[in-house]
Formats: sequence, structure tokens, C-alpha cells
Amino acid sequence: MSLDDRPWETVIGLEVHCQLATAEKLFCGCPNRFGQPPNRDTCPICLGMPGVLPVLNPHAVRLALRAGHALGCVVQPRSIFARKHYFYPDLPKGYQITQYEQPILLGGAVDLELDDGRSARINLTRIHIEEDAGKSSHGEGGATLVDLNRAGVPLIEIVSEPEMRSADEAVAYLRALHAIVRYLGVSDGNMEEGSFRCDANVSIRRAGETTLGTRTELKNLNSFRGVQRSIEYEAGRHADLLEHGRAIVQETRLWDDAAGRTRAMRGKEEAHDYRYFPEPDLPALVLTAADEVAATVDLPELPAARRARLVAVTGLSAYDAAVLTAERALADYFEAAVAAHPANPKGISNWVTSELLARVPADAVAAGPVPPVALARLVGLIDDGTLSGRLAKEVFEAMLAGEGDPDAIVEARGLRQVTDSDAIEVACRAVIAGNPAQLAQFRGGKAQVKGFFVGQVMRATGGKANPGQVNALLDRLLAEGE
Amino acid sequence: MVHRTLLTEDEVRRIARLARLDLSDEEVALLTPQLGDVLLYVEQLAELDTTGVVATFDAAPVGRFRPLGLRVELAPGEATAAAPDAWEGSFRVPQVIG
Amino acid sequence: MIDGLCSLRRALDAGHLSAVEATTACLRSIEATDERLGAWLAVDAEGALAQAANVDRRRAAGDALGPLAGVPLGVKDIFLTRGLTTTCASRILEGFVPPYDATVIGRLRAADAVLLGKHNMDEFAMGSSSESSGFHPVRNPWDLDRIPGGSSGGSAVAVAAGHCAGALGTDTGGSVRQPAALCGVVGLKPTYGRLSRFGVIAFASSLDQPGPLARTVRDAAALFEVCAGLDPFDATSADVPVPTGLADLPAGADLRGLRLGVPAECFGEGLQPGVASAMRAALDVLRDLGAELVDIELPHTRFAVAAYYLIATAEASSNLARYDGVRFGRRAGAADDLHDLYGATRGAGFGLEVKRRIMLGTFALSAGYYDAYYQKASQVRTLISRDFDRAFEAVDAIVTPTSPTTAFRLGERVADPLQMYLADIFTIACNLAGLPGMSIPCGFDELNLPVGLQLLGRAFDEATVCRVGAAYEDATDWTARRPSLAEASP
Repeated sequence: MSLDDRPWETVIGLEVHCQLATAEKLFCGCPNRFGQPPNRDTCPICLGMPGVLPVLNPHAVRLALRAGHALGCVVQPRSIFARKHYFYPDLPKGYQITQYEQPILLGGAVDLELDDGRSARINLTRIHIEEDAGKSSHGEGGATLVDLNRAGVPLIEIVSEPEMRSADEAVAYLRALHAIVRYLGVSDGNMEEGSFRCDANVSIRRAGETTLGTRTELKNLNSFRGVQRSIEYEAGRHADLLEHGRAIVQETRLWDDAAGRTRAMRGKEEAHDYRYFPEPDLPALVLTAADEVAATVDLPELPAARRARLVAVTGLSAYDAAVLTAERALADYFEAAVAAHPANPKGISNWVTSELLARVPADAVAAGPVPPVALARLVGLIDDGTLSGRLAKEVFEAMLAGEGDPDAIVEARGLRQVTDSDAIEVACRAVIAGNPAQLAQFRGGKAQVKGFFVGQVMRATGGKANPGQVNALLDRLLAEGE
Repeated sequence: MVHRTLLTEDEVRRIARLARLDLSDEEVALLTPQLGDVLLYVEQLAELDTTGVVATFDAAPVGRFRPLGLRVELAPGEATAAAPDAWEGSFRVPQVIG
Repeated sequence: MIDGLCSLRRALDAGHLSAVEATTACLRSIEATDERLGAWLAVDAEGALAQAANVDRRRAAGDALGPLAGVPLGVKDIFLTRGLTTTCASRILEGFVPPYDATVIGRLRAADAVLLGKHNMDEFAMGSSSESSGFHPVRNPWDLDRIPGGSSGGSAVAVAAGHCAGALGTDTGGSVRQPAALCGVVGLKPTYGRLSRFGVIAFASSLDQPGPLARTVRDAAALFEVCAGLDPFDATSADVPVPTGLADLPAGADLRGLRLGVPAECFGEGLQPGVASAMRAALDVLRDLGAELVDIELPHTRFAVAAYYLIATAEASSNLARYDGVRFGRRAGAADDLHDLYGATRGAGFGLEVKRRIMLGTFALSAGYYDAYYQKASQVRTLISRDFDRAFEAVDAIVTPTSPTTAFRLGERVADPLQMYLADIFTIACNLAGLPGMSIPCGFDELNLPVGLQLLGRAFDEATVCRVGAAYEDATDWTARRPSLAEASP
């Protein structure tokens, strides 16, 4: 199904739904959290009971503005909430409160650096605030069970222009956006819990054409991998249809991750007459200068800028810098470690990316068993010759096990590398004296027997002898008697 | 303005489906001319030139934000207490078919 | 039978009467005549008596009491009352017991009022006759063959019949003022945003406003003062200071220096002769009180009914989407498909008038029609508001009839929805503009049916409306007249 060697270009626009990290829901005081028993976090308002009214959570507006500032959107001083109508059991009021004709943010862009070294700018159409729906699940006997804990949780919907040209680009865009909203504290971005999910509008056209082909909208994309696979699948499906002279139906399709294919959604009759009209219960959202200022307080350095700075200042590769800046917590960790041991950012980077991340999730490094200062010290101990690479790994394991900082572990376990040449020489002489047969072989021309002696010396010193010194001394001592 | 809006019974049935409102044949027969009359009556609005007139969608000028920490507390189980069908804290409905 | 609210309050304060005695009198009155009137959907005798006993106990102990301590009231069944069935007169909500109180109900309770029960009404407040109740119609106490007006018909009848000292209704296009006029009581629709809508079942969100019905202007003002004010649960509720002292307006004041606008549009053809002559007499009284009568024009108000029926039904079709048989209320049949369940539940639960309006509103919002209908009507709404802005540059209040006719016969207009809608022709513009309005009894027609005078004021100027109303009331004796049915009850 791949489009790789076919004359088609894929055109992708994404609509990202991002839950805002507020303490309360968008229009009521219920907690905004995940994992509670069904309908625990509900009240008459988010249950859509008769008589209830929405009142806007200022924190949600502030977070939306924060995202807008970071993405270069134009803040609209006056925006309007609207009702979008459709009937579904997880939509309590029979309409969703969203922003339609006048959203809070227009424009903006996300800059990407692609794996092949190209950079790209994906423009945004708009960002608007809306409420999430609840969740339906299957119960016994074919029934549907409805839990409204999620109903009314604040979302921003980030709508891109159809400017992505491959599934790779779409994933790069999504990763960049994901990193940004997490950096900003706008969202926890937890994809398993549905805090960050997207719909993709996919069409294809012959390379060089400027008009857009008929698009399909893919729903239920809740992992980067799912986005990648679904877009590739769908573009291939479009190409197959067109190549067989058949038309593409503009429709909404669900991605079935297990089956690895998309399928048309059922039972969405009249789904496209949403009967939007301005929400009469919520007067226009008019922003004051103070609201806008509040949203820009403590804006952090964003991933792209940070990546560029790390490459420029520490000399890291672009790849390493990208890995380290994907999560704000990880980048903070790395920079704290470098601050404690400025001499070797590359060494710290290697330890973080190859050892630490293998054991500790990226967003948990700061609170994990290996604080940045401790990792810096470990690299410092390697750099000054106190620890060999092998010993350092042992110390690292002990740190993970909670045995304390590297110096304490080295002391407690007696792991300090032996660099005293007198002591090493004594050990070498003892090994040579104790193994006359091997000595004879060596002298008979079997040079590889030297490895035996190195092993014996390391064994005799409990692995603490500096291997370089051992080698040099053995070379001298074995030559001595010849 | 749509002139001479004459609703057909099919149109009435289409709107009823959109509103998830089952209507009997008698109701469709009754409502079709009645709704048509009302739509003819409201066509008088077309007389007015409203070019450039800002629409009024609400009678309140500017909205306010919600003070945080304000909640209508429900007792345990009260969320589903009025539901026609509930199961272990969830609302229960038939599955969507087709 | 009990007298008006303020006089009852004085009697209670003076110890001439206990709250339990007042409540018992109301319950007896309801028992005696409501079988014929149908004004109540639920009477909570036990709860009311307990509340009254509590007030009496606290009064005896010398505790501080709220401004309505021991005053028995009823409220339209559109207000959510915690623990007390609330149906909005719809079968779809039959048996629904709300888990929370409307904000205004909370304010009445905090004022130590005694809540007798819930008043019958047009289903979901959609109607001008109270015939569309899903349970039973309400009858006019002045003539049991006639409608009491609507949609707050039960509330107007209960006040007129002496079942309660006052009531709270809601007014979307005249639903407090028109039944007040047709039943010979006072009804006040405050400025949009004055009283919280939280816990009030929504009909048309941008038009709905709760308002009191009572025997006199001062009685209505007393209820208004208790219920009005900012509510953090309603983003459209206004942060404007609530006037005080309206319940204690001095008796016998004149209206010198006040300019009252008389719109030609409201005194032309279409007025019943009895209404026209009552209005002429009322204008004379106002002039005699010293008011300057000024001819004004409200040229766009003739489009008000058309604009209203598009806006109100569009909002209603949206507000009523939540009645789907999932989280509360009744579910119809044994549908095993979700779509069938929705259609069956709503088809069985809603009455014909509600269906008619959901259909009209759904159509007005549907693809391809929005601009021609909802958008256009909302622009006309702006023009109507501007008419009032211009008029209020020259006058302090506006006088019109409340309704072009007195009470019509039951069933007379049921088959002709458009005629029914035109019953609200004088009251609707006020809702579209969000202004305060009041209906005051101003006479009777040749059939001894009450006629109502409507006063409209500037936004948030309920004070002037009440002042004019009280002066007119003091100069006439219409509010003192009671239907014979009420006089005859114990």
C-alpha cells in the first residue's frame, strides 16, 4: 500500500485535541482528573441536568492563551462560544459547547526539524476552547455504559493547515506540538489517558498539482505510531481507489489499530448538520490586557530554541539534542547535570540517553533515584580516572538501587580504581611468578597469553586496577626476563 | 430570506429525525401546514433591511469568569439516582445499531 | 384564605397569626378550590407545615428571621426544588426529583419563606394559555371556562385564588405578565440578568427571566428584592445593585415630573373594546397623578413576534436536546437501539406544542436556513432594542396594554398556533430587549374579566416601574377585587 514509488503526494491536516491541565472542569467545579470510578467526578452541571448553566473557568482560558503565545497565534480580544448539536449518550446536553465562528486564537505555526535534516513550518488555522465529552464502554448483554467523569473537561483544539506532506511529517508535527504543550504546562499530554489525541484529514494528489483531492477524516488516533500507520494506510487506500478509476468518498473513518486499517464510521446519519449557534448562556469572552499578560508570565524556553542552544553551546549532535529536549523535565535534568560538571556535556548526554533512559521514564528522571548532580559526579569520577567504565556501571546500578551518591557507593564498596603503580606492579610480579607455564608459553612466542596475565591481575585486584596501567606494566615486566 | 417556504411532509420528517423526535403520521399531517403558516408569518422579517446590523445573541453584555472552588456537591450515587437505567455507577443505554 | 404578602408579613411579625396558621389556611384554600382550578402540580403540605413550625419556633425563641419568615409561597414547576418533584409540566420529566435547588429557591428558603409546592404551567413554559400542561389544564378563577393565560398560569391562578401569598414564575415572552393580566394580579418581569436562571429549566436562554406574581405591586417587589442579585452560577446574571425599599413605597405618591411613553402601535386595531376602554381610563388616572404622557414610536415592535418565534424556538430546540431518557426522566418503550430510544422517548414524552417548537427551532438552525432565520431574527432583535433606547431618551417608562384581549375560552386557539402566539404581541418586545416589565390590574371588561396594564422600564430600573405601578394601584382599587370563587373559599 505504500506510496513510496507511486506518483502521488499526500496532503495532511491535523486537528489535535489537547486536554488542559486545570484543577477543575471547564464550566463547573468538578475535579479534572483521570481514573476515578464512573460518574464520581460529576455534578448537575456536567451531567447536563435540567436548569444548569455553564460558567467559564478562567484557568482554562489562561492555559489556552499560553499555548497561543508560544505558537505565535493572534489573540482575539473577543471570542464567542457556540453550541454544536448532535445526539450521543456521552454528550449530556445534546450539544457540545465549543468555539465556532470566532475562536480565541487565530494563526500561529509549528517549526519542525525533520530526521532528514530538512526543516519545515506548519501553519495553524486556529486554536479554540471546548469541552470534552464523556466515555462510552461496552457493558454486558450488548448494552453501552456511560461515564461522564470526562464530560466538561477543558480542551483546546489545535487545527493545522493542510501542509504536511507525509506521515513522517505529521508525526514530527505532532511530537513537536506534544513537547510544546508539555513544556508550557498547558497539558499533561498523556496519550494513553486521552489527554492528547488527534484526527487527521488525509487526501492525495498527483505530485505537482495544486488543488486538494477529496479528503477523509481519520478518528481515534491516540498514539504517534497510530498516526503514522493510519495515514500511510489511508493514503495507500486512496491511491488504490484512484488507480482503479474509483472515487474517494468524503467521510469520517475510524482507525482500527489492531487490524491496521481504517473503516467508515457507522450510524452517523445527519452527522453534518450540527446546527451551530452562539451559546446564549455564555456572553462573549472579552479578554483584558491583564488576562493576556497573566498568560505570558514564566513562559519557558520552547523545545526548538532549546535544542538549537544545546547544539550551539554544548556541541551535542542534533539527534542527541532532540532526544534530550523532547521532554521539558529531561532537558532540565540534563542541563542541571551539565551545570554540575560543565567539562563533559557529551559524556553526560551519553549516560542520560543510553543508560538512564533505559531505566527511568523521561518525564520521571528528576524525581528518580539518580539526581542530576549524582549523574554529573559519576561522569566526573570516570573523567578523573577514579572509575573505569565497568566500575561506573556498577556504581550506577547501586545508585538506581538507592544506595546513595557515587562517592558514598565507591567508598562503601571499595570500588576506587587502583592507579598506584607500585601496588599494580606487586600484583603483576606475583601473577608472573605464580604462572611459570604460561610465562614459558608467552616467551615461546604465544603473544596472546598476555591476555591471561591481564585477566589474572584484574582478578587479583578485584577489578580495581587501571587496565591501561596493567597492560603497560605487564609489557615491561614480561619483557624484563627475556 | 427563503420566499414562499412551503414545507413538505418529507421535510417535516427530515427535521423530526434531526431532532430525534418520533412523530406519528397524524402529527406530521397536522404539523406540516402549521409550521408552514408560521414560516410564512416570519417571512415579514424579509421586509427589513438589516445590512450591517449587528446581531444580538444575548441580553448580557460581557461574561464573567467562574470563581474557582464552587461546586454543587452530589451525594454518592446521586449522579445516577434519577436515571431510568444505571449499572454500577454508569448510565446504561442500548447499543448503537447500524 | 390569606391576604396579600406584605400585610401577611406584618400580621406574622406582630404575632396576630402564626406561620403554621397561615400555612394551614393556604392548604385549606388549595384543597377547597384547586380541584376546579388545577393550579398545582405538587403540594408539599408536610414540608410546608414543618417549615412553618420551624419559623414559629425560632420566632418564639427570639431568633433573627429572614424577610419572608413564615410567608407561604408557591413556585412554578420550572424551578428545581431539591427533594421535591419537578416536571416543568412535562411527562418526560414525570417523577424527576432534582438533586439541587435553583438559586432563587435557595434565596426564598434563606429568607425563611414557606414553600407550599409547585404550580402548573404550559409544558416547558411553551404557551400562553396553560393548556399545554402535560398533566391537566389550568382554569381562570374569574371564569372556569376560560384560560388563565400562560405559561405561568398556575402561579397567577394560585395568587388570584388566595392559595398563596405570592409566587415565582418565569417570563420568556410574557409568561409572567400575560397570566397576571388575565387573572387580575400583579406580575413583574425583571431586567434580564436580575434574577439568576440557575436551576430554572431553560426554555429560551437569552429571553428567560424569573419574576414574581403577587396581589399588589409592593408584594411583588418584596419577592423581587429577596430573589434578585448576582449569582456566580449564572454567567448572565448582572452585577448591578438591587434596589431596596420597593416593598415599602409610601402610599399615595404622585407621578409629577415623570414622562410616560404611549406607543401608538399598541393602541390601534386589534384591541378588544373592553381592553381599549380600560386602557383609556388607566391613561387618565396616570395623567391625573401628574405624569406627562408622551406619544412615542416603536416602529420595529411589529416584527417582535416573528423574531421571537425564531429565536425562542431555536434556543428551545437546543435546550430540550438533553431530554433523551439517559440520565434522568422517563425513557419510552423497550427500544434496543439507541436512535430508536431517543426518538421514542422524546416522541412519547413531549406534548404537541413542545414538538411544534422543537421542529420550528430545529428548522431555523439547520444547514442552509440559519442566516435567513436565526441570524436575521437576531439582527431584528437589535433594531427592536434600538427602538427602546431611542424611546427612553424621551421618557422614563412606557405604558401599553399587557394583552390585546382578556381571557379567551379553553380550546379556542389550540388549533391555531399563530393566533396563540399573537396573544403575546405586547409583551414579547420587552424580552427581546431584556427590559423590565410589569402587569398591573387596570379594570374589567364587560364579562367581568380582568384587564392588565403593562409598564416597561429602562434596563435595571425596576424601581421606576414599581413606583409608577404603586402610585397607580394606590389611586385605583382594582387589586382589591377578588374572584367570587376565592371569596367563597374558607
